[in-house]
Amino acid sequence: MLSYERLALPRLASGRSRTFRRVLRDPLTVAGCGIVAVLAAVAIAAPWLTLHNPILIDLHERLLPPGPGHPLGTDDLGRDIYSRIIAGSRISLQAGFLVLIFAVAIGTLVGGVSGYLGGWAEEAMMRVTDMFLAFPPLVLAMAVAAALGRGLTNAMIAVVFVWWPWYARLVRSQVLTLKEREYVLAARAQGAGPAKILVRHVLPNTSSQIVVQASLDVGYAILVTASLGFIGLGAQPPLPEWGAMIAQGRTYLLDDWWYPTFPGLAIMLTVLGFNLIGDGLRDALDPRSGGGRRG
Amino acid sequence: MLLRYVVRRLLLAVIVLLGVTFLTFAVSQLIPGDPARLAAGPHASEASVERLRREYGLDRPWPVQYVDFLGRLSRGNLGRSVQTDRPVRDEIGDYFPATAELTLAAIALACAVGIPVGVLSAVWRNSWLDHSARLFSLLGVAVPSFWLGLLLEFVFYYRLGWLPGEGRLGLVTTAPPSRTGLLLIDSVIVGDMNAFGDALLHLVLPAVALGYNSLALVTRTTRANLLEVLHEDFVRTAHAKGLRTRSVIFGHALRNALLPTLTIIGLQFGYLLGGAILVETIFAWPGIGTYALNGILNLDFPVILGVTTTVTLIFLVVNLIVDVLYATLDPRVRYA
Repeated sequence: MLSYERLALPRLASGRSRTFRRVLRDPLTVAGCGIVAVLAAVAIAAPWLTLHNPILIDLHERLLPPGPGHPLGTDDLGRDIYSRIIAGSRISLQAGFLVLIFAVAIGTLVGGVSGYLGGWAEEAMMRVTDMFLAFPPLVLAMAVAAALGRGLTNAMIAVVFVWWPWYARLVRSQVLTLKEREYVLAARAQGAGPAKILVRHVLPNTSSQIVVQASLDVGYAILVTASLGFIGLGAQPPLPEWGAMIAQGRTYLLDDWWYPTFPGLAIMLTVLGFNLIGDGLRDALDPRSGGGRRG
Repeated sequence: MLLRYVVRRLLLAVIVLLGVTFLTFAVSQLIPGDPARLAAGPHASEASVERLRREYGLDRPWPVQYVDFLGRLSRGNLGRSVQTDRPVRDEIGDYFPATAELTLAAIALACAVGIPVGVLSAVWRNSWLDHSARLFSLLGVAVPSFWLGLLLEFVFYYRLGWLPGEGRLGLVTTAPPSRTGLLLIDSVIVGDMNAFGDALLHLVLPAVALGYNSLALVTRTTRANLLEVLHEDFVRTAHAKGLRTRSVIFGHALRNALLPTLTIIGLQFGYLLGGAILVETIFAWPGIGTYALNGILNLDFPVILGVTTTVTLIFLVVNLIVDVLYATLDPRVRYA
């Protein structure tokens, strides 16, 4: 007879590698991984990849079309657009990841504690969460960013404001089912306190769901931060933030199409890359689920 | 049962609305600077600033101020714009119809294209149509609407000259007398087909720029849910009964598959109202997005808070309607 362990261990291992194989079999997911890998490499190596100083003004080189010296042309202040986009990748990726880290941390805390405690504490915390979810996201981000004052950091705080409630909901719903599991009951029977059970036994099991959602959301967080940059509430000049670059370049579109076009392409590719990975991960972990996610 | 569900949802909405007003109030307290000093002007004496502070009730503790704020809000008083000194409520009233028309057009576009494409994509899974539809919707979720708007304007207005690029009507077209504020409906009421056509042409580019994202989501949701439903037992039963594929899809599967799409559309309404802020500025569309952006650029806080409150209220009402519709269509929801 096979013992329980011998039955369970190989299954677990093959389950993981199956997930991994399924992710890598989907060409779209692989494409997404490729885009994000290139992007990450570019962001890390940005100082060595730029051809010119991204914020150095040179009025002799104004609005040059894409050419040998400037692969993506120059802007109205003579700055090299290629170098600015490369430098901007750092800003956007940092913004996306930082926003998500804080949103996940706050959401996990609120969702985990409220789901585990239950009762009036849960009711109160979830009503607060609902209140944040009642705002159209961009409108809330805009109001908060305007109140805090212009700037990249404030824009990121505003996006965290909008994003954490989604994680609070996600984590809470997971915790609600997990806390009835036998191993949790066993831990409680052994005298473990609520904090220890939550941190050691419950929350780690919510991580795969969180990772899937977060990988989808990094792209959106970048998009929203760029939108705030576009309406002038995000990164301020001369920072080469993609959304702000589009805003500065929009009046030049008619004669100098390259100016606002390339930063927009950069945003689109970035968001696309993260979405492809997120979609692939979700399908691999839960093949039943489809595309029905929030906008 | 349905009535009880509606009443419960309404009560919850009221609680959330109270919270929303509180959050808005808190944001308004965050704003740097002393409003009394701002209103009095830079050269006012300390005494007159103090008088203004008492007059506006700014010297009272914040819970009192909050209740005051609620009282004003319940009478529809959103304060005055710092730039124009007009009541924010009147200005939102002027600007809102343009946004409503644009948002509705974007939603109509998303449904009219997204649902059929999603259905075809699911029915002919893995065909070239399915693959191109998926690519199309992947791009739609990733593209920044404001950038798409710029490109559309560049190509279809500047370069090709096929469609008008800015505003709601051409310079030579007289606007129909305003009944609803929605130009399409107003022009039909008076039978002015010329204005109708012009308004419709002006709507195309902004609605595409704003709606592409929702269109992509509606396509994806419809496709995914229809695929899921097509594997359900009742669909197999319908097939086994000998029904033709077409009547299985349209009579049985689609009805069930469209329920989640309905939720997505309700949620999209809020996203579109936010997205309108970005798209309207591109097309010089005289809606609350342009109005809000003006408020943001000039840090006109009564305007920013007024727009936030109004848009959130609309979003709440739309979601309430969607939830009730959902419960009407799917009785299981009421017991949840």
